[in-house]
Parts: sequence; structure tokens; C-alpha cells
Amino acid sequence: MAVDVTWRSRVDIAWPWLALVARLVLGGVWLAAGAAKIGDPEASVRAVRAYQLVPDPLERAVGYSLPLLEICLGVLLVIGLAQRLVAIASAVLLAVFIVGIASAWARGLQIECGCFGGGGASGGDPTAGYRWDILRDVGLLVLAGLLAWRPTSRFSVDGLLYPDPRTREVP
Amino acid sequence: MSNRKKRDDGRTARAAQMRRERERADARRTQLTVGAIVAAIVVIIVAAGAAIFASERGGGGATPHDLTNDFGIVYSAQSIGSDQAVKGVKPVKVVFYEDFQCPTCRAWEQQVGSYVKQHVNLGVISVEYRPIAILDQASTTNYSSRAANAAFCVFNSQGAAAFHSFHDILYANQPAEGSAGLDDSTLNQMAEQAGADNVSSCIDNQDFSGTVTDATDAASQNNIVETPTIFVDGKELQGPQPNTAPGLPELADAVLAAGAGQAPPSPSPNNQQGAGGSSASQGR
Repeated sequence: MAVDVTWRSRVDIAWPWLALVARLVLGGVWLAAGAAKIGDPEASVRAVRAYQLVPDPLERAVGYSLPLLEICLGVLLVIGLAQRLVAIASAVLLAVFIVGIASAWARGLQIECGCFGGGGASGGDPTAGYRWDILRDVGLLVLAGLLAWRPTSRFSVDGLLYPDPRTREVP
Repeated sequence: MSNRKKRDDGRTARAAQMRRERERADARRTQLTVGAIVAAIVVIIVAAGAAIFASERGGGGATPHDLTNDFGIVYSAQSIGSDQAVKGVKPVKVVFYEDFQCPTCRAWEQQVGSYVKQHVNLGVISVEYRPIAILDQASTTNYSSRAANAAFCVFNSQGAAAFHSFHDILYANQPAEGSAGLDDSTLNQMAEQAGADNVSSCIDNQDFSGTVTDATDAASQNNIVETPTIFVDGKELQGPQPNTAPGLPELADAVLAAGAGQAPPSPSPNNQQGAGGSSASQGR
């Protein structure tokens, strides 16, 4: 029996668990980021403004809706509902963030990303901050990409609604 | 034989088609269910968020009197009633965006503090302090906002000179980033030290929290994304190198450059003192 367990089937068996971890990590980060911003939406607006990428009339709308969007994505990921759609939306939002931070860096702006609250104001040299923010977001983007590719994961609402023989067979 | 096979085939095909249709209907139902749950979750989160936003304190409310339109406090020979002011010299305008939680602002104050005091007394410069609160995240108690509010309380009650003493005391006692900051009673003691002994309720109730919010928002709209940000005669002061904060040499140079264009006597502060002294007595 053990001979039949190839590398591929091992991945198949482990995948739903890996996907669960990816879901919880990505969802947890969204929840943390949204929760940090929602208490001070004006700071979120200032952070958006600090990037100087969003037209003035939209700054307020973007600043206020970002934390809500992040919390929605976080909740849906944690409970595992509409996983592929949510993973794609997460990937798109992360790509937007990466482009924003990279562009702030390239333009020599001295701001903080405001990723977890704060108004985008920075103290000294922001370069190390930019590098770390982009690395983190790229890592999260990879997780979102994996989830979008194969959303089947353990303990998900999707799993209850779409009975998938593969997940049911996993011990 | 062939007829029966045909019949069987037809039956199988019909069964397969019915199964496919049933599966499609199931899938549609599941999709609708998922869509409905997602919509419900989004509606709940947005509604809760809107409630949180609505409960937050916004701008507006009471404003300290004599505040500039940019939420600034003018510290000048005139506003502090200096008797050393040089007559006939138009002070060079310095604007300083500060956050009382900001360590770089503290370092700036340590460098330029005595220069500023001296030159304001002489009327060579006037400083418009614009306290803002962009570092509330750096303390567990929104110290940035509370300290700025307290500074507005002191200014409103006792004017620019007391504000400036309080401002110095705040920097001398600046709490570390990531700490709980100084509590309201400590802020009140420091206000008393600066000569404002009637501001404890203003500090406790954050009477000027709306002003702090408005000031911070106005600064952000002017693309002020960090503190300290300093303008001399309308030009932003740069540090000696990229990504460094300006210090006393940059300030003194910029003041001299701006003063040379407008002050009739020699731009050197020492000469101005002498020349101004005589012109002041002539004026009277």
C-alpha cells in the first residue's frame, strides 16, 4: 500500500491542510490590517493621500472603504467561503498595494505604508520599510495565488456546500 | 435487436442528460447560497463599520482663539510682547509642523531651541507652530492627540509665551515610542509649570480634540507626510543630505537668505541688534 503513495498523491493529501494554513494566514493578516485601520479612518485617509496616487475626491472614499474591504476578505478567508473568488480579490488588492509602495519608493516619497494603520507619516529613512513591506506583500500574494489555483481546503464552508470527494476521502 | 439497443441507448442518454441537468441545478443552487451568504456577511461588516465610523469623534467643535487659519500658533516678538524687538525689521516667517510624540521633532528642538527663542525675542523671526497628531499609533493612549490638545488648551488660556514654555516642557519629557505616553494629570502638571493653572478640564475632556483632527487633516491635505516639516519664508527646509532632517545650520542659513531680501539693516543678527536698537529709539 505504502508503495502506491507517490509524491503527487502526498501533495494531494496534504494540500487541503496547506490551503487551510494559507487561508488562515492571509485571512488573519487582512483582519489585523482592517482592524488596525477601522478605529482611525482619518489616518487611513491620510495614508491614502500620502501615496499621492488617488485623485483628491476619492481619497476619503478609498480611505474609509479599505478597512471594510480588508475585514470582509479576512472573514471570508477564515471561514472559507467563496475561496477562489476571495483569493483572486486578495491577490488583486495585494498587487495594488505592491505597486503603490514600489511607486512611492521609486518617487522618493518618505512615507510609511500605513498597512496596519497609521497615517502614512514617516520618521527617518523609509527604504528599509519599503523593502520589508513589499517582501511581505509578495509572500502574501503567493499564498493568495496558491489558494486561487487550488482552493480546496479543510474546515471550510465551501467544503460543506460543495461536497468534494477528494476532501471527504482524506482521513 | 438493433431496435432494442437503440431504445436502450436513448434511455441511457436521457438519464445522463437528466443527471446533468440535476447537477447543473444543484450547482446553481449552491452558487446562489454562496452568493447570499457572502452578501449577508458583507452587509453586516459594512453596517458595523458605518456604525463605528459614525461613533468616532470628528473635527470641528471649539477652536482656541487667535489660532491661524492653518491651525497654527504664532510665536513672535509681538505675540509674546518682547521688549527686545528690533524696530523696522520684518520677521522671517518660519512654519513648523510638529508632533509631540516625534523624536526627530525633539532633536530639532534641542538643536534650534535657543536660537529660535533669541531670534523671536529680537523680532528677526516669527515661528508658526502647527501641532498635528500623526503618531497616535506610537503610544497606547493616543498621546500625540492628547499632547496637541493640551498645547491648544495652554495657548487658548495663556497665549503664545505659555504655549512655548509648555512646548519645551513637552519635548523635555517626551515619552518613548511604543509606551503609554504621559497621562492627563502629568500633562496638567506640566501645563501648570508653563503658567496655565486652569486647563485641567480642557485636558481631561480634550476640549480641542476637534481642532487637533482638523489640523492634522489640513496638514495632510497640504501633503505634509512627516514631522518635523519646516518652512522658512514659504520654502521647505531640507536636510543636509537626502533622507535626513534639517538642523540649526540649515535653519540659520535659510533665515539669513530670506532676511537679506527684506531687512533694510545688515542681515547678520548681531548687527541687527545694534542697528535696530538705535532705530528703535529714533522711532520713538
